[in-house]
Amino acid sequence: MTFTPLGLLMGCLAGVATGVLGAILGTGGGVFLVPVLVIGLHVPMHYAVATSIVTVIATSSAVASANVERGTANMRLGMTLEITTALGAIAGGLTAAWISARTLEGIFSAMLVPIAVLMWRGKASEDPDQLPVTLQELREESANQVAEPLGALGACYLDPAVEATIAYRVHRLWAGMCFSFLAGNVSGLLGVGGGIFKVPALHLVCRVPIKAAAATSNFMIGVTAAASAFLYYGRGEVHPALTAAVTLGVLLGSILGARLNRRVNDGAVRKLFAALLLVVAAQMFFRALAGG
Amino acid sequence: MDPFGDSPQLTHWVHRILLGGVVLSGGLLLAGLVILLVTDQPLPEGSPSLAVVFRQAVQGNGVGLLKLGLLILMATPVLRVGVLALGWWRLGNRRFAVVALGVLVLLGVSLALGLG
Repeated sequence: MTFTPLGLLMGCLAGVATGVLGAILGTGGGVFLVPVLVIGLHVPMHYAVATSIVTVIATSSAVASANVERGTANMRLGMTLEITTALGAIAGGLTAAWISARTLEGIFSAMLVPIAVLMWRGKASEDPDQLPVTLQELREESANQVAEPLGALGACYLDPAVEATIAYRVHRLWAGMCFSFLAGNVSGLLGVGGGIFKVPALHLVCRVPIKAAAATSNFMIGVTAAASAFLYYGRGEVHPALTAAVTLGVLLGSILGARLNRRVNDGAVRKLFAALLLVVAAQMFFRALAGG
Repeated sequence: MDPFGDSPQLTHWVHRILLGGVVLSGGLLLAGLVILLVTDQPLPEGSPSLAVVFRQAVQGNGVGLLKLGLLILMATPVLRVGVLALGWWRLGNRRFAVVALGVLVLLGVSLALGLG
């Protein structure tokens, strides 16, 4: 597989578009990048998945570095869940080697449908019944208790929106680990970040506040992607020049997207993107059916 | 260690590792691509050994810089896990140090399967 300078430029532009969309919609962008590479640039499916996985590492590392400094990413919870997410990613990365490109495209198209529906419905919001307590309340509470009030995995962060430090405990860790395995498996197999599964699971099942859930999921995604990236690299499916061009484009797009974020109508973009995903899903499904 | 969170020094190190990895790999990828396109070298394919990649990169070869940049990017999350394992161990948080070591072992398995 060879790429001309024009092909690399197109790959870079696809990366910029992915980065902009990812920053506006709060997604990793892999769901957009893989179809663009496969359908638009005729990149073989396994190479597109490998390229997407490497870009996921880049965006996750860049965003997680800021979230860790702010304290929104829960590193202890993230590391615990990384055990199962890495296992899932390795299993996915190994399985991908045994699946034909067309079958992989069929599975990818099937995954796009629920993602498009979730995208159309919008972001998960904070459930008022599950609001965590402020740090001050927690410190007063802990003064009367011997046990650690947050448990080993709980944490706190400053939320500028409510001008308070929010503290929370983690519930049903086992369920979070199961969802992390699933997310890791999908990531390793299809080249997406897997945040679409992890964020709702952390928020709704483990009762982690939505901001901390999103930041912790992003923190984990780098390790998830790295676990399968080495497998793709070893099989020679990471095309260096294409991956470099797309990765640089995604990083540039993420910066542009963060600036555009305040000026665009998030809801309209979200619905347009959801509709686009359904069209792409149908196109990939018919390609998989046609087998050529 | 603050029972409500992680040590600020440790979080700062993690922040530095992640940001440094992205900046360094981004710089190498950009330099590699520019050298490849300007010198009109054939675009690289396949995955040579680590020793070959390092030798090419040190010689300022565009292909080598590109591959070294990708490897550094892929290694950044692994380094982050290693720093946390070491940091938690030194802070006496043995439980999470062991968890991080477990993740490191899994990443090592992936590395061995992929590059071994």
